[in-house]
Amino acid sequence: MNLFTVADFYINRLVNSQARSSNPSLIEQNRIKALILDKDTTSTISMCATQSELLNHEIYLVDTIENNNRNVMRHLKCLVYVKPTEETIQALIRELDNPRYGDYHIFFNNTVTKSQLERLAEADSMECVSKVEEIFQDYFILNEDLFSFDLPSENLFYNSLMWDEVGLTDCTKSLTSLLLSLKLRPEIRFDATSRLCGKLAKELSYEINHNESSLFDFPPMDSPPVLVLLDRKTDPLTPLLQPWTYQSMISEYIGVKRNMVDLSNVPDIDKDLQKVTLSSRQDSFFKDTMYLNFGELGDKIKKYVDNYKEKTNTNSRINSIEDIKNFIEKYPEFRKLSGSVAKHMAIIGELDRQLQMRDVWEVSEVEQNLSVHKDDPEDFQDLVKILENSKIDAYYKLKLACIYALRQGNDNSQLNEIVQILQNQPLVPVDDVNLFHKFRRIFGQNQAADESRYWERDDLLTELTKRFNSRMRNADSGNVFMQHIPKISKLLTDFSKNKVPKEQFKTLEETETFRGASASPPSQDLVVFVVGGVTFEEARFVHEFNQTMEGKMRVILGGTSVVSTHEYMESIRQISGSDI
Amino acid sequence: MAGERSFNSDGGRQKVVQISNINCPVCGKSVGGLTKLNDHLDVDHEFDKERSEFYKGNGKSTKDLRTRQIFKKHWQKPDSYGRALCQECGVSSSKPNTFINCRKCGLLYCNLHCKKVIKLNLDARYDPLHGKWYACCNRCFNERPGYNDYGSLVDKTSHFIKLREIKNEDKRLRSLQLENRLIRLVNGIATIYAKGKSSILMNFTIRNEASELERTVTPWKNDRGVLDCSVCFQPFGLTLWKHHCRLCGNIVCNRDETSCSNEISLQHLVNAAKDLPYQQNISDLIEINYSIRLCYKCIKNLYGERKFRKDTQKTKPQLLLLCESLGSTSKVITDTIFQMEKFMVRMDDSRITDQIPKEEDMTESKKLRTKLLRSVAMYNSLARQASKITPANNTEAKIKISVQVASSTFINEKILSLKKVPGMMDESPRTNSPIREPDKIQSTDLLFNNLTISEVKKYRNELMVLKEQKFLVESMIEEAKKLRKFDEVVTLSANLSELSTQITKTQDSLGDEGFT
Repeated sequence: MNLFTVADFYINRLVNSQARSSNPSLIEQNRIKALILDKDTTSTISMCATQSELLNHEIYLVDTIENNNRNVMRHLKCLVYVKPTEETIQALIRELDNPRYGDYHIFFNNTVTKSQLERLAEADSMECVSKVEEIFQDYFILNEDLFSFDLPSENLFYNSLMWDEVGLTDCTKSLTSLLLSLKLRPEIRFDATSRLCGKLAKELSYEINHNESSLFDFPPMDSPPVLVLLDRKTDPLTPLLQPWTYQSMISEYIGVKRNMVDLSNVPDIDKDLQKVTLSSRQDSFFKDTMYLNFGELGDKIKKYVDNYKEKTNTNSRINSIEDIKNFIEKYPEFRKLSGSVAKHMAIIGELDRQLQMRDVWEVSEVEQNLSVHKDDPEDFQDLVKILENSKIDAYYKLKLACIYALRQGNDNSQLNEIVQILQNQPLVPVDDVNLFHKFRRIFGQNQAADESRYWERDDLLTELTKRFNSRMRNADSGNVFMQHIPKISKLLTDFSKNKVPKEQFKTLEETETFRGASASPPSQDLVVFVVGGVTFEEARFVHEFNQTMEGKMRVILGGTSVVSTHEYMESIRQISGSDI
Repeated sequence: MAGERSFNSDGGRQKVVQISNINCPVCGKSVGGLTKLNDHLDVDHEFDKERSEFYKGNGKSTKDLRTRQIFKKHWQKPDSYGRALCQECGVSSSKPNTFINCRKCGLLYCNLHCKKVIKLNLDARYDPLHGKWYACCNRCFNERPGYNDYGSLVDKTSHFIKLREIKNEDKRLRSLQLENRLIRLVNGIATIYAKGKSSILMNFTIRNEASELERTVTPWKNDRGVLDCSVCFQPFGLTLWKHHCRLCGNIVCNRDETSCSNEISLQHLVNAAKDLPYQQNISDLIEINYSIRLCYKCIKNLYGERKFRKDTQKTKPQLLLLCESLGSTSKVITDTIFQMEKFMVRMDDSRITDQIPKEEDMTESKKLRTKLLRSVAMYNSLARQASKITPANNTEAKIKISVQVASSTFINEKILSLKKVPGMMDESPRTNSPIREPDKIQSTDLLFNNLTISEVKKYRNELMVLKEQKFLVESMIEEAKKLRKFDEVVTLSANLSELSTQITKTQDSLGDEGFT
């Protein structure tokens, strides 16, 4: 259940592709390969393979199918890797009608329909296609246990309550491809309170049991894998809080899209550093630090830089030929290190600057206190202080108000007071106050109705037992800035103890087949999918959970997208008020 | 059977190990102590049929019970002292309660490493559907079929080819028809020309007869009622005239920008499709000066595939040829390096046992070394050639860049690390001493006598950098002198002299390979 292994497998399949029947001498003839991608698969490939890996397989030309200015090179063998959308099929038909390369191997990252295949076959009058294959990778791999479809919420739902037809199909298809790539035929459990999840579950199970049932013909497992569908609305608190771990902070303050970090807005940035890639696969420093909080990160980067300095010192002492020789020998490695150091220094420097500039330290402490304590007058005083502080960004004030409404939603007088303060602030636009009301309308009733049942049964005793029984190694419990624990943590712990209530997480099949026995052990493989976006903070919990369980239970987390606080607030703003 | 017995039934009487609260690996329920866990497993999960039956409602004969028990014959037993060794962590202990047999493979594990559960049937085989839950080790857990599986894929090639065959059948018939028409046309025109050669009114009669022939090959479509070009769908008018394609008879326009139809000379038509069975010799046909109007569709149908095949048969552009030879050379180099590494391990072994390396080994090693050096030199020259080629188009330019990146990383990764190799290989025949201390020095000596081309390149770069630095320092000295900062001049001149010595050193090492 490591997504990177799956990606490696598919990429190997792609680059080592050989036609089945053609004679080997012909393959020898056209060894140099071109790789033609579309806009989706370009990201897939760039997130999983490096340029040198491609070069090692003699792929000397990478281009997109949309590019019409490609020159004719009929001596090249061409690997086509595309997502089977209408657009790319059209482009492929045009390509085959007048082939630019000598031999085509076509790979699709999801299932193609019969009619699409027929149209392609008709276009291939020169018979230059020697292979057509479906591999299943219609999703983006961010970490070894985190995937995303990168489908923004605006296009997926109407008012975050109803699926958009196209969005639902896309999401179902991508999720199907994920399950196929991991060879899982899961039992689907979904959040019973969410209509989005229910609909997706139905679509997906139809796809698995009817449309693609021949593909899902895997050997039965003694402990069948489980796919859990969650709705972002069930845990609106987590995406509202300022994150403090490296990966999530980059996403929050700088912005990372498909592993590309855009530093071009950073003042005085070096030209080479404007766009950098960050992947836990290729960057060992990032792999070690991605889940660390800002304090730990500081120590790590200090060590890293010291190490680098030491190396520069030895390198600068070049007195003899022998030294030169050593230097040249170590030079490529050294250059790699210096590039990496510069990159991380730039990112961390920018993070620090943003934190200082926006007074995030102060805001975050109040946020965290609000989210874990219940009805604490001291917290309320802190909140008021922040709201009245003119230095702090209006956005954070709004967010704090929302968090307060979410947690202590019962006290109307205090909420009114908050509205008063917000309105009195010169820098808070009226729109934001409306958004606050909207937020209360959406989540106010929601919380009251559902919370009591499953998520929030915490009186003091359960709180204590939760602390002790939670299978997370919670090293951060003493950290003021990381007090909040996302709901997914409780969910995973419950799954590991087989204590997830049926009423809250429904299954589609009424008849429990062979798992009916009272003493059935907890599921071993879990795919958690969050409709409406997942956060990197949650990804960290899943990662830690996986490490604690030592293979007893394996979890993969994914979402329609990965959201930062800004993106989440924006998605709430998109909901039009009349439909709630 | 000691281990098993103690685990299952004697457990209650054994001293309980100091673990007060553990979770059942099957249901996660917490139980107080190992003994309780055993009881719990035996009774609630029916790990021990005998006992659970006993608890539930005794009364069945022992014979009946034995057949229903899980297979235990393969269980590993502790040694004669009652000690057992965990297969995974290697901890050994003689306390019976700290060890447990994996119910599937039967090996002994400590309690920590036998926590997983698996469904087994009574023969201790994996049975995902009808088995019962038993404790098992990590290995058996991971080896369940389908557990670590990934990467579904569907090969649609045969399906695609089948579809393509159906679709292409019609097309092939169509192009056969067109080919026949073309042959008839060409043959007819050739005979007309052969006849007309003797005639005085040659040009006139030939034109007449040829245009008559053109109409017999295929029925022309009626002009009336056709409003648009059949290729580009532009309406005909005063400026856009109607023309007939001589092969399909459709009405098309002759706009230059769309090239819906073109008059193509016989010479080109015949040359592009030499494989067709004409009556006359191709060399005779080429001489005929006559053009035939063909529409875009017919041209594509007749000549598209021929052109495609011809292109793939052409000799490759030089860049691609170089790429391929670079590829094969790099393969040779990596292979040779691999062989040499194996060889060196063997030599090292022989050295440890104080043996003198064999004669044939030495010659072999020398052979490998020369092979390596030669292929490295070859690689280098090929890479240089590739970088000198001027690309014919954008695509070639892109390929060229990739090739350069690939070759430079190859040199960086493989060839630079090779420096240690030749010394090791060469030192032993003269000095039979087993001490390999002076390796490094020797290797450098060897290298400087025998520089590989990539190294020459590196040293040249080095030299260039040094010279540049020297120039900079010199200009700095000048500046300092102007500003009358004489203390700086002193340190700078010290630097300068250092640089000059280094330059001479590098130049020495380069020897004849230096800049000329």
